[in-house]
Amino acid sequence: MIYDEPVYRPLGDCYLAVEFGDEADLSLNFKVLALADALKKANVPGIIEIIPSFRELGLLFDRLETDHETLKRAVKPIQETVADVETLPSRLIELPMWYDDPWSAELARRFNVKKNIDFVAECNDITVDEVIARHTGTDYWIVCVGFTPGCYFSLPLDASKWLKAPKYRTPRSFTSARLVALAGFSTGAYPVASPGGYQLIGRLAVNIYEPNSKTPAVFPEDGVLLHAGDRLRYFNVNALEYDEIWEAAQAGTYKYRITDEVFDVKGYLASRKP
Amino acid sequence: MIEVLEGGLQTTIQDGGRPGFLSRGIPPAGAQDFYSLSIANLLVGNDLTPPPLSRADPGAAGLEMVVKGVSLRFLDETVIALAGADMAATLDGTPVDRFRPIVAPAGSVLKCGTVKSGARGYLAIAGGIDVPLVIGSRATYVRGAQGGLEGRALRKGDRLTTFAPAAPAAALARRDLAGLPSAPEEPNVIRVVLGPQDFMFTAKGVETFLTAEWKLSPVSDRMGMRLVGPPLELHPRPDYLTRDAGSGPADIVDDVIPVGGIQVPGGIEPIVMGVENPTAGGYAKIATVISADLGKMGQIPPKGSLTFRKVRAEEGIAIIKDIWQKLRDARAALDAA
Repeated sequence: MIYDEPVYRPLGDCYLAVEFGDEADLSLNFKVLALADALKKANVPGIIEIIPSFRELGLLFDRLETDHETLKRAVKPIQETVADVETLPSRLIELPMWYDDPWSAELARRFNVKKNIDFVAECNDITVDEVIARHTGTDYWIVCVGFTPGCYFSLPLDASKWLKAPKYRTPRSFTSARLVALAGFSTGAYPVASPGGYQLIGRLAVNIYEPNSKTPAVFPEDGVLLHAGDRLRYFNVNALEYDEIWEAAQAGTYKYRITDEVFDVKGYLASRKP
Repeated sequence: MIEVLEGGLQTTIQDGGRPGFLSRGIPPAGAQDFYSLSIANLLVGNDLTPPPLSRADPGAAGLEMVVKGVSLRFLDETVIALAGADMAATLDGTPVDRFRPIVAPAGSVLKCGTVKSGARGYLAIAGGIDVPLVIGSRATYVRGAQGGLEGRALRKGDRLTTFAPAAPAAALARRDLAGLPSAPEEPNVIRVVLGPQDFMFTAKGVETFLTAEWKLSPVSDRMGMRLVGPPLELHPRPDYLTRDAGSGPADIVDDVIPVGGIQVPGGIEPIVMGVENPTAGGYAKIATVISADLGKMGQIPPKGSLTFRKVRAEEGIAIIKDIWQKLRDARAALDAA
């Protein structure tokens, strides 16, 4: 459901949330990000951090300076100005990825499941090559960065390229860093080695979480590459290219493909209507 | 210089934590029980530990010890103070009290044992522990291998250094709690603000949550504390949530998980999020622990019991403001003495 009027909810004594709806629709995320952008510009007193999620904007505030009611009174008029989102600033980030990589295959063996990319092909009744063609054939919109440092949730902007697959019934206790995986509506990647339950389809040749990076222009002080509202375009690299890019990235000489753009939200929403 | 003789079960360097990076997936970390670390810092003349998720400077770094504490050798004369759980500490074999400054002579050995009550002991060292600031804080984020000493718990053979103390040992040794309580009242009553998804539970479900006696599962850490008790009844969900969020009765499309948020996957075994919380997730949260009681939550021992009590969000703010003001007043009084 997309609410007629956003709902304001306290999350304990430290946060106020502005919720635009409860379903997994990109139009909700555009509103969340438009409000985030407007609040950043308005410099509302007392806000420590603006936290976008898929369908709700979280505001962490300093309870020595403000409270839920005061903050709501300051936020509401700004929220009313962003009812119709025309455009959003959005970086296009192209990420090198080795599809059908040996680490994913090894993990499938270790956890006694079918090689995940084969399983994804089966779920969608296509070949592995077609899985790769579909996955590289659309841009992915990052709706939220969260869960663990640098972890993201993203949706294909071209819904016809969606690859459906369920999560693991029993999650893996281990996933190598930089593996890209999908399940449900989302594609994401594991920034560092961690447990996980998404279907593994490839490995990034660059980090998405790199504290103390040799490329500080790309990785800020917190080490996290991606933001909500970025668009990702994956490109397929072979084993040799993968090694070259990884080594260059670690040496600080890899040229990341990142472009600042403005995303036409209105045009996009009009085009996706049947 | 301080030598670590035994690391204990999980001893980490903590301060007030690093709020402000939740949108990057980085939790605040810091002391789970800020009040105990704060009064320990007060006793040794250090900067106070502020409440979690506040904008204030994170204060001096000390040690958080879980269930079984550290053993340390002080190579130089050092003033220390213990607070939080009673870990039956001894200095060169003689039992030492909590909640007062202790002058540890050069070469002396502090041994902390297993908790007698509570779950987390805190040790402040005059001057505060000197480790690099990582995005504004010295706190250890264990699961993210960030901050503290190499992002990990202490172990045998580690060496710690401290900043210069605020005053000579003899002056620090005269400090006391200036009338502050050593621990909160009603340690097993955890106050919560209902929501953000309390509406997904039936009135009976919410009632059960607020009246049941809950037990802390041993499968608990700084990320989340799992509770054992009765199931909580949920309303049926609209069909589109099965498509968008999953088939579980408490599945939602991912939203912000606050520190202290209480997720109830499947309507059973609520998980109270700690200071190393996942910052986003997809299960209904029936309520959120107020920031003043995150420390009480951190002091419930494995298999210990607790109940929840509903308060309004503004009460939660008033409670934490009052605690923080009293801490700062005590500090000002001691510094003026």
